[in-house]
Amino acid sequence: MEQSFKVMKTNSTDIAYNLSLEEYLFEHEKTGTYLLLWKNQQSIIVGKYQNVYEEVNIPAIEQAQIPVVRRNTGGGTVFHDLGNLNYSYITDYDPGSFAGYDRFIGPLIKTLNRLGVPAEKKKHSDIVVCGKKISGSAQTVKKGRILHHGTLLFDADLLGLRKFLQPTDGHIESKAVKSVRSSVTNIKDYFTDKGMTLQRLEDELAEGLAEGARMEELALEKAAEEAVKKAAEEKYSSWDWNFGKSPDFTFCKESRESKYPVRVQLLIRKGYIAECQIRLKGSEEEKAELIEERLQNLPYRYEVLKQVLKLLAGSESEKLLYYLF
Amino acid sequence: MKETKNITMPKLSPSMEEAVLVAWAKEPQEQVQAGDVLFEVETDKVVCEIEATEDGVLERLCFEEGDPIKPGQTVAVLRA
Repeated sequence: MEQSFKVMKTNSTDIAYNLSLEEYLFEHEKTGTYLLLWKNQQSIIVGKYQNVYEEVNIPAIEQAQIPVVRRNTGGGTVFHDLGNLNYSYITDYDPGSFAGYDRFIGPLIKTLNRLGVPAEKKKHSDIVVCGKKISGSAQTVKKGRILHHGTLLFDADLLGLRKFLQPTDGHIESKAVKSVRSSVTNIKDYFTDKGMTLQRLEDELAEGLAEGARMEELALEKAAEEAVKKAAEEKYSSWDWNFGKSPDFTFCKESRESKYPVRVQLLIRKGYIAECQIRLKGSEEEKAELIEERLQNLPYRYEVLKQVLKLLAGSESEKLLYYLF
Repeated sequence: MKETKNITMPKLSPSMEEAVLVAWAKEPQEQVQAGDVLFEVETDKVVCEIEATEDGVLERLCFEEGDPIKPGQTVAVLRA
């Protein structure tokens, strides 16, 4: 019997909802092939085993309230906005072709080529145009099923979120998975049809990825919809998953100014300050000890530490805060 | 004397030279059953769960989270 190919374009542009929906289909649908097409409002997405603190500028994202969300697949950090199309492909896992990225990105490249975009594969899992990355992908394998997903830069604001991806200039040590930086570009101007829209591209991609299989539109039942919303809230919107799941790390930052000598050393476990050492100038040893004591066991969050320091360090709190991130 | 068995890192693809053990799903001395997830590895941006193939007690975990492992290396020791 011909296997069905179920397609869904999500109406949501909420990263937490979309990742939750993707996980739901991956965990609950044990047969058949599923394709999700989705876009998100400005957000930053980190790989499952990355250290958020090594990838993004914490004070900047907290102040701008940019969502930072942890996905279920490997790899590095990416940013999304409404000009970036995401696709998730869920199907049976073929053990004979582990990390068989070609099986998924092959049809994607073929579709883009047919539409005039000179896309080609680079490394295992990237697609480039004229050497610049337009699409990255990652996977997770579990209980005989595979989730492959990827990005496609159509007309994203490539500079918009760049400043948020400049992490601290302090020194971090961890065993977390690191990101690999690439120069990126949009594909909008490469189409033969200059009037190409993201909506039409979605249809073209669905057809290309279905490779002749009969497409069916997928709709969620009410109970499934509820479960997706629940996990969007409880998992993908939670600080514990998005930040706290960062592998343990040490952080060190110090000033070279003789007028304001400071050295901060932290050990962060599950997003919390497990150990804290602060050195200020000689006459302020007691103050440093008090601050160390108060910071102990607090979540390593900019807004939290800012409030605590305001009470303890007075006029110097902003300065000290700078050395804590 | 109870029998022990080494759980080794499978070669997930012909080109795989190394994977990172990203998470343990079990603790030392924990009872496991065939089909339970033991640990997760990441290689080439793929996160993959490795399951137990038989029942037993995990006598020893040989790597920490974040450590690189090569195919064939012993990752854990299982006591039947």
